[in-house]
Amino acid sequence: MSMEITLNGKPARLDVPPHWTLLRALRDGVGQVDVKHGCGEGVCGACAVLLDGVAVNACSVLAPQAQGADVRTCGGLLEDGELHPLQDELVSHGGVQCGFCTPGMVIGALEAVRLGAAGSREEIRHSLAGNLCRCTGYRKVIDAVEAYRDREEEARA
Amino acid sequence: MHPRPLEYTRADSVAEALEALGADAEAKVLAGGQSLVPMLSLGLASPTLLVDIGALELAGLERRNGAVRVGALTRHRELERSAEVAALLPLAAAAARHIGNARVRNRGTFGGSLSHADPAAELGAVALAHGGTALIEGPAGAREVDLGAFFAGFFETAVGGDELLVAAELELPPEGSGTGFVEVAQRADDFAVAAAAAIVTPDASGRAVGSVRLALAGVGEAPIRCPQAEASCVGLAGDGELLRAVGEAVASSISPETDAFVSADYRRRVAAVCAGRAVLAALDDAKGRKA
Repeated sequence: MSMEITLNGKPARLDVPPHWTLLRALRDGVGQVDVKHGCGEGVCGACAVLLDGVAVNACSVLAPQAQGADVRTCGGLLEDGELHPLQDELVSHGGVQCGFCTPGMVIGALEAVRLGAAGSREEIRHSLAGNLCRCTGYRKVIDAVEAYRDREEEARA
Repeated sequence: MHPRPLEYTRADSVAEALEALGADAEAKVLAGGQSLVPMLSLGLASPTLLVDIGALELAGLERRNGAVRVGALTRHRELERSAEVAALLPLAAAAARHIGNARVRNRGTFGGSLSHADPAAELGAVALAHGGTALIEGPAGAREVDLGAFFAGFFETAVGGDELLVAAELELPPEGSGTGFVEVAQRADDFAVAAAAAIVTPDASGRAVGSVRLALAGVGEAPIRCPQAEASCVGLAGDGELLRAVGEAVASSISPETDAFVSADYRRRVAAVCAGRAVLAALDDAKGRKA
């Protein structure tokens, strides 16, 4: 089937069969490979994208469910080649190592801060549960999310 | 792994959904998809047709004398985060935090959880603790099923293959009641080893248990109520005796199974602890509301 979405701000057409997941459609259909295929069953968070502004695991959305939707991936957060402030904090705090979980972490953390669900380290942990990282031990990721949250709060003040 | 080929249709009305379900015995309803899509990817389900009900207006809460009607497409994240839910259905709000992870809760739905009927489903236990009515639409029209008779076995419910759960009405407990939800899982966002949902109405003294409704997840073929444990603690007020009475009643009345992760005995012990703590938390909650 043929469907249209907005992908990182630009119109995109997905010509994919209805049994493809959004994850497969993004990676194999239009080459959006910053969305990672980890567990494929909604547990690891590596495939997280914003679907109409809401963080979802792309592996657990069927492609036709995203028809007409606005899809934003981690790679689509850059502006004029500049890292998004959250991505910047992850780099400067060493919250990235192999990088496989990072796109999902960015999407999950971005939503958590936007929703006000990152007020404390404990809240950040709850918000990022289900974004599995095998390298960093999470501490530096949480440091980075705190720094981004503080940066956002200062900007708003 | 990827889902196998299948057909897909998006329903624009309940009638359209029912028509599509009626035309294909191997059709399945797709709502939030947070259990179904992973099951497709894992090859654990192989429907020929998916009927997407995501466009139907079945989300939201509505208070009706003595009950709250929860629409089937109300998402877990709404239950977890909305102030309205925290005020009206605090047990559902507390339970929703334990479902999957934030991305799963963003998509997963109340009706999907009840219909899927995972034995470890938090919201199934919440529905049983509240009691009330499931509202089901089918080819012969609408019908109501008592929530106590909704779960029919392992991943089985009262909803037929050509029917659709559109909402559930959860009965509100008497004024002054308190709620408690306690879950133990092996990882932060994993399925419950055991979970307990309790609603306690204190007696006239306000200090002891007057009546309690207690439901458990993870320990049976489906979420279950535990009448033995409910009866065991009426009139009790002390933490120690309450925990002991509920725990012993739960341990002797459930028949959990050993699975790949934990033994039946471990699950029984965890369930007993969860249940005791949930009842105690509900009693404390009720006292707090009075104070």
